[in-house]
Amino acid sequence: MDIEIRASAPEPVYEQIVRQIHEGVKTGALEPGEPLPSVRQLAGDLRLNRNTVARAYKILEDQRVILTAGRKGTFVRQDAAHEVEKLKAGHAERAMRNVIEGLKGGGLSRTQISEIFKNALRLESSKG
Amino acid sequence: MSVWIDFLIYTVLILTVWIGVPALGSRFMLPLLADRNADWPAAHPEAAKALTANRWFLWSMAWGLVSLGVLTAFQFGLWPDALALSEADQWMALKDINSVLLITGLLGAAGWAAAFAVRVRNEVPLGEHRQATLEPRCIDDFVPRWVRIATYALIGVHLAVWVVVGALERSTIPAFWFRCAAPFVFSGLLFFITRAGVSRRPNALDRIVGPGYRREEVRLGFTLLINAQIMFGLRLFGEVAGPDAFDADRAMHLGLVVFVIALLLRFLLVRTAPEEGMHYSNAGMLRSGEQNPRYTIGSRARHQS
Repeated sequence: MDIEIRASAPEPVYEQIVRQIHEGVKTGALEPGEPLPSVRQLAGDLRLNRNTVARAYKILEDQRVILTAGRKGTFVRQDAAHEVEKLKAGHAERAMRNVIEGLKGGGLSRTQISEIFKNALRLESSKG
Repeated sequence: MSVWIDFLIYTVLILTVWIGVPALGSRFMLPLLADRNADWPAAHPEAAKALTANRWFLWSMAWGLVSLGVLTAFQFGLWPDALALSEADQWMALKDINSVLLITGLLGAAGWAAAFAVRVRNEVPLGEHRQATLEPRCIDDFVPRWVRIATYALIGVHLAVWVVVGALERSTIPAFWFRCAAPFVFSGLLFFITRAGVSRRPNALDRIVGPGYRREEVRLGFTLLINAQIMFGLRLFGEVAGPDAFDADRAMHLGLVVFVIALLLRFLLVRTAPEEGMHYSNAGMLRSGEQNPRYTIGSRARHQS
């Protein structure tokens, strides 16, 4: 699998790396146990500072998507796909809670918010 | 051994280094720019043309002709003291003249290359889009482990023999320990070069020639490592046996030059196919019919890793 970054994109480069590795795990392009390049190799290949790649790897390690085994290298964890799904669900839940907080702040009740949410899902389903 | 053999080998070396290699290298000028920024050559065609002007190739060819002229003049006795030299002295004088011309030319070429690199860095901004593989690279991917172990064992034994010969004072030539430094230095340098071949960033040559290019580069590094042990081993034999028994210096020097010519000629097999871009002509490095992106001024070809 190849990874591509855009140097001047609004999204920080290390987040681009994290996102693409998440996508690779999700789509199966990165399989459980698959080795990843070293920080040095990836930073050199992408012409980035090593700290940028190291930061991305640290985030992925904290998210339990990858495992760094010292001199043996860095690998995709066996349960990486599950962890990526959990992260995705976690992000979605946080986004939803932010929306609900905003709507409550606008004076809507829980029943109204629930009704709005159901209507929105129905409309989305009818689009196909 | 006739000095004419030395002269012939040096002639081939000069033609290869100063005409063959620059002719090949001139075709990589535009891909080198595109390697830094794939969109820049198309967006700045005039500037790209100015950067890729091939005048340096003419200077290189001129230096090749000058080198050939000087060597030919010496070989045909047009040198003032040439006729007075013995064969042993003549081959050494020829070697020294060739070495001086080669080193001078290489220093000039290195200076030009450094100046060009600075100019490219200043004029061509780093590409917005950058791509890399997530496949890790390790030396075992390029050279079988047993070859690596055997090579390192050979180096270890060879260098140990040098030390033992020096400790036992078996050399017939003075300043042995000074000469002993050469195999250590060369072996260290070539070891570093093989490692660098694995870890270096992919460049235009990898994208143009194909995935076999890096493997070829690393394997050639190992071949040079083994060759260095043989060459210095010959020298050591000559130092122990004495100059009358075996002219190790000459054999070693010519062997090394022939080896370098073979390496350069191998890389000269890269040729440009019309319409399809460049590909390596060696079977196995690229499958037949496989196309590589072609970099042309005025097109928006994007390079692929």
